[in-house]
Amino acid sequence: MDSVIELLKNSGTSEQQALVLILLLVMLPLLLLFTSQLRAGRPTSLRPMQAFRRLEGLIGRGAETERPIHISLGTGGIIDTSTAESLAGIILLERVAHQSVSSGAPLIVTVSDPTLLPLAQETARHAWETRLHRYQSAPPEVRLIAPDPVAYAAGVMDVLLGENVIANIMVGKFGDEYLLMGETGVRSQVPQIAGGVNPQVLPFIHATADDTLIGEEIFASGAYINPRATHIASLRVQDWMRVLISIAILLGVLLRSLSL
Amino acid sequence: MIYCPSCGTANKSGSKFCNQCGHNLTGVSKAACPACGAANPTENLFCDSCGAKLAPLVTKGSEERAEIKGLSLPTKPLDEEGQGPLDGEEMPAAQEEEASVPEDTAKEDAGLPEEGEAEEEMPEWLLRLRAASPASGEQPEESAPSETPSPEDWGEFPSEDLEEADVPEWLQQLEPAEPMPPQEEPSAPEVEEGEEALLSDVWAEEANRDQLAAEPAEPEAPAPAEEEPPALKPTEELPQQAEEAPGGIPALAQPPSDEEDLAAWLQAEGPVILEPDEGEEEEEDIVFEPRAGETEEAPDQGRLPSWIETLAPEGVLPEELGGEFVEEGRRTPEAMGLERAEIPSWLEGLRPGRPGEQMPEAEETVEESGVLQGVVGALRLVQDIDPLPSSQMRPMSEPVAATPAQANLFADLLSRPTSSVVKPRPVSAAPKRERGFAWLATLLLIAAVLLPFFATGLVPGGDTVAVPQPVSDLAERIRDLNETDVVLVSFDYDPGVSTELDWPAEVILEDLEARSVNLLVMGVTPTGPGLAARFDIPAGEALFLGYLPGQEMGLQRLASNLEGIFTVDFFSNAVSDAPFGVKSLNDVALVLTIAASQETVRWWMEQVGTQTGAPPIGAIVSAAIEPAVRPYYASGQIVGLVSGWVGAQAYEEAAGLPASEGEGGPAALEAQSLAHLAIAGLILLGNAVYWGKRLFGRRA
Amino acid sequence: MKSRLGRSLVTAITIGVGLLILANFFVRNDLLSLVQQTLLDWAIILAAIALILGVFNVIGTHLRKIRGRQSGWLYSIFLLAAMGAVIIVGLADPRGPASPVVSWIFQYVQIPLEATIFSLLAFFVASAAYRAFRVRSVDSFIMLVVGLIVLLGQVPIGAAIWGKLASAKDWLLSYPSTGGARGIILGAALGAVLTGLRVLLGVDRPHAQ
Repeated sequence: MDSVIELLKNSGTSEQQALVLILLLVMLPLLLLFTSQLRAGRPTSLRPMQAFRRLEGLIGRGAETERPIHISLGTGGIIDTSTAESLAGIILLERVAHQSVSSGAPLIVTVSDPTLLPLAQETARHAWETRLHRYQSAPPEVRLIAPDPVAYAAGVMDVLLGENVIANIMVGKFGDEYLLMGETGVRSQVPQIAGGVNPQVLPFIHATADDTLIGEEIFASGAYINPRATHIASLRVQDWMRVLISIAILLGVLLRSLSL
Repeated sequence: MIYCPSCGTANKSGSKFCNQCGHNLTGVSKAACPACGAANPTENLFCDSCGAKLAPLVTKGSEERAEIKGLSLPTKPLDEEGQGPLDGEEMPAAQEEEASVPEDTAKEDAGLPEEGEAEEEMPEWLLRLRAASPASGEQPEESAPSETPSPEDWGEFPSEDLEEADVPEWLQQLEPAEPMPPQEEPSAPEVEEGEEALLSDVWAEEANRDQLAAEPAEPEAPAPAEEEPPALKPTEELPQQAEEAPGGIPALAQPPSDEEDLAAWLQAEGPVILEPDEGEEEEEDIVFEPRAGETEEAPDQGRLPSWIETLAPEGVLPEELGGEFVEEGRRTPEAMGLERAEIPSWLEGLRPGRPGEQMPEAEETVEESGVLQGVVGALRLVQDIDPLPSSQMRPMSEPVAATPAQANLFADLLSRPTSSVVKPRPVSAAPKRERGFAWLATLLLIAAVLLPFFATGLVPGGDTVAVPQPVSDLAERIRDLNETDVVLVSFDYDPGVSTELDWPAEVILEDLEARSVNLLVMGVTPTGPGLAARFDIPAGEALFLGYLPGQEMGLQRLASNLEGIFTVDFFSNAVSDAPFGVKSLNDVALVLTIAASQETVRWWMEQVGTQTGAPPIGAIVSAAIEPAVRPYYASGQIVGLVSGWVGAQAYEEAAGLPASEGEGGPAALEAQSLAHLAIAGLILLGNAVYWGKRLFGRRA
Repeated sequence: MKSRLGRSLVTAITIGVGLLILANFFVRNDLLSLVQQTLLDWAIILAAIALILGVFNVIGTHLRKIRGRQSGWLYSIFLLAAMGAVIIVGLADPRGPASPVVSWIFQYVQIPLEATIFSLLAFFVASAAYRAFRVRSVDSFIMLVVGLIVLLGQVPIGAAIWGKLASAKDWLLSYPSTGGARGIILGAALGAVLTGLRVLLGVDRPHAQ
């Protein structure tokens, strides 16, 4: 391994660059291959995920009771490393917004980062415009609470307590302030679906949410709730890469242990 | 291909009007899925979202379609020249302008025109029809006066005077593609010129069929065995050609253009003698027999089709029909043993009259509204349907004497007013037990936190704390600094965690001040510089750079161009006037990041720690993220790690600093210890209660 | 953009910019670095503009609340008044956030308020722990034991209960906990990379028309 790193340094390529290059060279062809296979009709199956299954039911309850559904997209934005988590929340919002507009279930969307606000508004407006049968006179409401995470949590607590929500969905980037929101949802006795990537927050999610999306499961929303070939192909690539990386780690441990 | 949203017909791409129904296609850009409502390109056969079939398609704004009054003909408002949508492919200017109107505003004329502008936009043949009706006060131009209604009184619907372009396409399609075979002139009076082409087509077809029936039928291949005859089976008297025919009354269809195109059963057609199935009444046998003496004469244009004649009730023909409709030598149904089928009263009005026939007085109904306003003789509204007599209405169920309570309850429930508004369900109060626990936990935690401030020494071992290796490493690194070194301190936490990180930050700053090192103070969060400004840092030894926007992108810029980023400091003083200057990060001896988020630490590792010649990095973090940051210390990427209040007290010991009083100190650590103990106790209590209920509750 | 050309243009810009940034990561080139720096500066400016849009959104939301007399509309009045006052004071003083008034508001209003709300975490943790640490299976029993060790090992009182509690806590946090967290982070990182790849290839535009 040291010789490999030495070789890379001599060629002017850093270790980091080499790793990224290898990942791209492996993942990109796999993604294209699996996408073409799916579009050609190759069958594939996904394990059931309770959180996504429950989603439709929650929207239905919202339509029947006319109580709003709250969706929190977290404290992340789209100009930093939390972009992927924010986009996962946007994909979920897209689907929920479509269902909400066509079924009449009211929707409240809250964001913390200002850069996520236009994206969420556009998603909600697009869902409202493309639905032919609308039961609402305006697109779902998107609110910027506050850029500060604690202030955002306080605002969401107010929404959960004061707006008589029927369900609480929280997918995105969260910190410790998640527990404030999650526990408020528990005390309000509303069903909750929550998902995050931060390992620091996952115990809180597990303790407060009825259905959870742990880590990479939030990136599977595109494949489950609005199946597209590229999203399903991405899941397959992730599975493949996880296996390959696990083998690489084991090999590295073995080689290091044998002083090779 | 563009699929018409009205009739679903496939039209060539670029078509402006539907070939089938004339619907305007220029505004069609999207089609909605009938299953999920998603918008799809008009070319789609199946929905992109859910895969449902998209026919029939419905365009956007279908709910805004104008109300269709009267007939549901696919009419379109005529242009100024009175031409309709089928008058050629060239779109008049008026319609071009209409087509260029945006979708949202072009829907108004999707349907039939309103009554006010009906006359201007109605087809010409319909206008003539209205004009011909007596109610309109106008007399038709070419109608011959007659006492009895004659076919021409029906109006020109359509008449031979109409131009082909005026005739709707669906009507045009009923005309024979090729001229009919020559027929002899009928001896009976001919039909007036104004007779409908529709019935003339039918009669022509019938004539052709009769003509063919009179011809010697060629033996044709027998019909397939799997073709099942209709309910009525042929009798023993079935002639050969009839046996070969599958039977049944031939449906009204376009007359064949060529004899060869005729189906075998039609060529060999002859009256089929049918008899009803078992169980049905056999009193009325409808027998179709070849008419004896039939010649090849063309049928009278004015006579009824033979199949109607044979269905006519006994005694009706030929008298009621005036006799002119009966061919010479033709046997009457009575002679054939048929009973006349009674024509329903509602059909009576449509029965074509013959010249000189005394038609029964039909009730003249005049359409009062809609497109056919003023037209007389349209389909008559049947008024003779008696309302269901009240005596025959299902009586209300009377309550049984034995169940008066249930009946009264049911009646009470039915009589209660309903409310369509769903009242918001109030959040039910938590059960008493849970509320009691909440109070217990709150009081316990408050007591645990406040007690050490009134009575110290409650927690054994709270005065001293073991110094972890990461803390001592950082203390040693700071101890090795000299007066000319520059240390970059970044306040990267939020005010919410200030109570936890202010103490470690204060301790570190105190140690740095004791070393008389130069400080660069900044923050990658907007609140960082404000938090830093609360600390009493000597002005001559520190330069408050302020907030660095862009998070990790900002750190990347900082690593490459420190001097160019900050031109003024947090207090709006020029950086160039600072007592000391730093051109790049390479001039910094140590970087300390005070963070409550592992992400922030990772930014420093990735953007600054990987740079060539980068300074060493130390981290002061909250206890919550210490497990996530520890691997960076284990790998050598950070030189030291101080975590939370325990780390602050440990650093004081490692650096030889006096113990803090006030905000930090032993009392705070004792309070933290007691709080942790209280939470652990609550967890155990919860399990005890849970298992107690399960065990003792089961036994009970 | 509703036209196909507009959509194609947006996709082309997305792919082009992404490839530029990626190329600069692999190839050290002054021009590419300059382009990347410029684009990143634009992103920072856009974030600042987004913050201004966010202010308008907050104003609109709370004005609607006040107009409709929805629950808590009095607090909305206070919020708008406080926001307006801090913005005006901050803009009026050329020192901006360093002005004495803003500093005073930050130190004596914002920090105590945020610290107070964050301190609720202690009670919420107690409540969540009471609910989550119930022993229902072998897994939950293990979780209970580990939780108690870490909880008490963090504070000095743990050493008084059991001398090796702190070491046990360190071992648990360094090996099993870190290992599990790394596994989750690895999976999440793969998901994030693929999300980025889909955006880079222009096949994932959930928000596009």
